[in-house]
Amino acid sequence: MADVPRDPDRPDEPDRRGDMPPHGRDEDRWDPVVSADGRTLSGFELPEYDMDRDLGDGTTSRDWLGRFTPDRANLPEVSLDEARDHIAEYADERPWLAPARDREPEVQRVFTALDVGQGHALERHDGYPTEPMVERRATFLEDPAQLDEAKRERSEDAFHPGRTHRCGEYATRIWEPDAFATAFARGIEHPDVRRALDRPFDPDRRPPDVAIPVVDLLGPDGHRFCAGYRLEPVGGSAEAAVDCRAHWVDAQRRGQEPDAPEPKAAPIDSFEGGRIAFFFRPTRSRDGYEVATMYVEPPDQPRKGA
Amino acid sequence: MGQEFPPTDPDSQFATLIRIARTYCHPEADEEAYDALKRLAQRREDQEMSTFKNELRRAIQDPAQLPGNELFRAVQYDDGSAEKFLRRLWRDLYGDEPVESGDGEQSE
Repeated sequence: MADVPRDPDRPDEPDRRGDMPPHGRDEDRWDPVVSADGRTLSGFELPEYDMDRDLGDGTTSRDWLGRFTPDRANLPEVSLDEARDHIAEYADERPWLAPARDREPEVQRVFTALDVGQGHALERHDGYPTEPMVERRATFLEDPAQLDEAKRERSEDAFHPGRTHRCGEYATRIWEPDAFATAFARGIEHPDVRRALDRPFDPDRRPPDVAIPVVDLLGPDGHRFCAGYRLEPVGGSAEAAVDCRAHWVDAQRRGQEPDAPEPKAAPIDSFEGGRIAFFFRPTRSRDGYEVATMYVEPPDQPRKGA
Repeated sequence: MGQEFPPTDPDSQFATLIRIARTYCHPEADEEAYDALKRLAQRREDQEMSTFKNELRRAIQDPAQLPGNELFRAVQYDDGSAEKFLRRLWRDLYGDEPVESGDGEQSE
C-alpha cells in the first residue's frame, strides 16, 4: 500500500482511500459527494510523477518516451511539433487531450498519436475522466468518451451510436498523464505486445489481449498513479451486479421503473499488484493491428500462474 | 512477464472458448469485434474456430464444467449467468443450428 496521508479528522480509522487520487488536476471538476468512503479529502496529497525516476530496471520514463515513435504502435507518424500543435488546437474540443497540455513534447506525442489512432484508451482511461465520471461509468454506464451530455446521461456509447455503453465490473484510469504515456510507450515494446502488434493481419481476427504487471511498466510505485471504481456486488456476486446494472440502465433508458437495485460503486483501494491490459484492433488502413485500448486492472483479477 | 488471458493451460477444457470470448466479447474490446467474431465463426475450415465451437457446445450442454466464475471474470458479460451468455453467443454465431455434440447428442 502506498504511503497516503490519513484523514486528519479520523486518525484512528484505517485509511481505505488507498492510492486513489481524490480528483484530477482541475479542482473545479471535483464533486466532493463521491469522495472515497464519503470522507473529506483534506490531507490527501497527489503523488508527483518524476520523469527521471528509476522504473525499477535503471530506465526512466524519459528514456521510454524519448525512444517512442508512433509507427512502433502501427499509428500514423506524428512529429513533436505536430503533437504540440495538435494538442493546442484540439484540447478544448477533445478534452482527453487536455491533461497533456502542459506536458513535455514526448508525452504530447503519445497523446496525439493515440488521438489520431482508432483506440479509446485516452477517452476512457487517461486523466481526463474525473472521479465522478469514472464512478458514473461503473454505476450508470455513462461513457466518458461521449461528449454529448444528454447522450452520456442516457448511457449512449460514443462510438456505437444508439447503443448502450458497456463496462465491466470496474472502471479505471491512469490519472497521471506522464505515467499514462509511459505505460503506453513502454508497453508497446513489451515482447507480448510486440507479438500482437506484429502479427500477420487478418481483418476478422484480433490478437488476444495482453496484461502486464503495473510494476513492469511504471516501476515499484506505479500503482499510485492508477485509480478507479468497482461496482458493488449484489448478493455477493459481481456477475449479478453487472446483470442488475444492465437491467437498471435499460429501464432508465426506456423511462420505466427499474426492477433492479440502483447500481453502486466503491473506490478501488489500491492497484498494487495490478496489471495493465492491452486490447487490439485492426488499424484504420486495415493492414495491421493497433492498441484498441489500454487500461489498468485491479490486483484481484487473478490470473493463473500470476 | 505479460500474459494473455487466460494463459495457455493444456489441462483446461475451455481455454479456447474463454480466450476467444474475452477477445471479442469483453466490454473493452473494440466496437467491431463482435461482428468480426460472427464472420470468423463462419470459417468452417479454421482449426481454432472449430475448437472454439466444440468447447462452446460442451459448455452449453454442461455449464457446470466451466471452472468457477472464470468465464465471467474473463468476459464480464451482462447476461446474468454463464449459461445465458453462452446460449446468446451460440445463437448470434450459429443461428438456428442445433447445439449438439460430435456424436450427435442434442441439447436443444
